[in-house]
Amino acid sequence: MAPENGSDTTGDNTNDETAPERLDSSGAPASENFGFHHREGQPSGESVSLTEEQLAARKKRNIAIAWSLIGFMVVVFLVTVTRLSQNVGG
Amino acid sequence: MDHSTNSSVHRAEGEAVSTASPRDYFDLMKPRVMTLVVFTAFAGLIAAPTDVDPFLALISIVSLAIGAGAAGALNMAYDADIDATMKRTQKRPVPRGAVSISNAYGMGLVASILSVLMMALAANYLAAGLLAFSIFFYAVIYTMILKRSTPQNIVIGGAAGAFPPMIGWVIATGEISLDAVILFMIIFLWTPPHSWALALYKSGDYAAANVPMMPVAKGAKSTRLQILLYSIVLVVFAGAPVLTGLGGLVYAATSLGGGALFLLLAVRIYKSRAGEAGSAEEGALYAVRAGDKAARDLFAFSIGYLTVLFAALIVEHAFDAYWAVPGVNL
Repeated sequence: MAPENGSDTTGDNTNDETAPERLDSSGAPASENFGFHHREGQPSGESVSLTEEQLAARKKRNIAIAWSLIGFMVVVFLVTVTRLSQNVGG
Repeated sequence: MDHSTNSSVHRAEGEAVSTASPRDYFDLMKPRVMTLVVFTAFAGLIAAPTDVDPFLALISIVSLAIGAGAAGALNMAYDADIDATMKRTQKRPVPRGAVSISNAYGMGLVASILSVLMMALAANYLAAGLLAFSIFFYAVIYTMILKRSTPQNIVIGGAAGAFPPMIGWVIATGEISLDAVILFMIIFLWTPPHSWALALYKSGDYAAANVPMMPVAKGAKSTRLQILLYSIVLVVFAGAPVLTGLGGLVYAATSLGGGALFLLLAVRIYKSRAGEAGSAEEGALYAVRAGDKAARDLFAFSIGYLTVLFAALIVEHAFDAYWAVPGVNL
């Protein structure tokens, strides 16, 4: 769960600006944590590394959402064309 | 700045990182309920005396299914606490922790809006309005207000499940007619005996969750009597489509045969001691003790009864198997 005192579950060096996964850390300037803050606007000091399982689940969800959106757009297009052909095309 | 490939994410307090799969979100939509919704809506659409473009009809039915699923997701989000205490529901995606409550709400709301919009585009505004109202009725009126406050919860809330055939009818015709109301009423009257039969042998589950289902609030004996009374009204009313000409000989025969068996099982429940000694808490999902067998039988048969009634309408109107019942058509 959430580490105390703003420590990072990844165990990385807090001052390592090259670490791409560093999104938030306790007391760090906004410029160093990419502007990500706790919901209340305060640095939470929380971050978490996703496991392989979580990454795979996220990827599956993203793909499902993408296909859903594509499907929705295609259906809207086809329905519009069908209605137009009925109402305008006679 | 792009964090899309980042393997570390900001996390709000107490919020777990999800491992939910698309299947978990699909389960959130109560796929078995969606199946019945699609089937009864299809029956209403087919029985309506108006031809409709097959593609638009398909999209409309899909919209209805998604709308019903959205209502199911909102129901599961709100009922996560009681679902977790009931054996019948504790494996649902929210109580088992696969999907968070906020995500369930989010999906339910988004799917509700999209389904209503799509219905308006593919069918008509009346069908879209009925769909929106049925989602609201199920998610808010039934789930948030009635379910935990009155033993009449499923009597009034049953209206939500009765809308699909009416919406199917409206998809085709653009209006609500007497036949559409009759189809609505059949499911409305079917819901109490169906739900109370289940509640009789799962009353312990409902009592533990503080849901005032009829057997919990009024006792098993009163519930058995009400099941019998509702069954009589249902079986009689199921003959109404014959009187209006909506149902022909096939429907009449199905309604008579199925109704007789339905009444037989309802009388059997009335004479039994089903629900007297609590519920069958152990074993498989729908496993019951010998004393509750009558309740289980009616619960199972009620699903088949509704299915064959609407299947008869589909057969008559889709496969040109309609023969009017002599002397009774108005």
